[in-house]
Amino acid sequence: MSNSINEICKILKVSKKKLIKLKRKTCEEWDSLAHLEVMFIVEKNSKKRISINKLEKLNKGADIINLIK
Amino acid sequence: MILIGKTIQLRNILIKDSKFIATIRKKKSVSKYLNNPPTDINHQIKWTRENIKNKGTRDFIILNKKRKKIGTIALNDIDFKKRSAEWGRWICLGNSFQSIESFLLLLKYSFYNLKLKNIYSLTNIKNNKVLNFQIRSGGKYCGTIKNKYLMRGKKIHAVKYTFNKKSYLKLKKKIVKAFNFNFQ
Repeated sequence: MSNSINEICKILKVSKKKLIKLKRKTCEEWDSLAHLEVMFIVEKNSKKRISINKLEKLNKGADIINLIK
Repeated sequence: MILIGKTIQLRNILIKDSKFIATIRKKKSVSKYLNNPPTDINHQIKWTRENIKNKGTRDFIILNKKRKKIGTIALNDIDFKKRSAEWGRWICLGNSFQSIESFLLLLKYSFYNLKLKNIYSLTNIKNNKVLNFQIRSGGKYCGTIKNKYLMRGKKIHAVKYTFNKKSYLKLKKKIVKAFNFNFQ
């Protein structure tokens, strides 16, 4: 899990502390390609197949962390 | 002409799209980085009519699978001698897959249909989200053009990034590999 969070932090260029409060709307690094990269990590770490619609709605750092846990 | 992808289609703009184009270009989140947002529908109709006639421009409407209009993307200043063009007017209200696929389809059209060697973008220096996207997508930084745009009385610099067939194939491969998602 820690590795995945680190990868996401690297993509979004934030610290782990900041990730929890991060929102896609206000993060300039969180463009559509970054979002796809983040979704890929989330899906890789989830045991279930997650729908594109659900992945697309992951717009907050806290939600991503919860899904990876 | 229609370019068909897996999640979206691109079709040439028509006069009847003017209302849609004006509406999305007036959106607050979009217009803050536009140097010439439409003033009214008549202005937009005139602009659309001129662009349809212009042989150096290809403006597309992005449609989702239900053929609902979700955005715009374009090539302009097409130079067939230099085999280059500027890409832009990119507004996509769809999801991330649809945004990326609209860009990939435009690249494919540029390099395979129009046989261009490279396409470039001139992005408002303050539009960090789009600048980050270009870096992440494999765009090559080609410099900053000072005072390129005049926005609300202020001169704004533009950042130039170029893409070629190699960067297109690399980006496509990256997406396909990550998601097993067969982009067109």
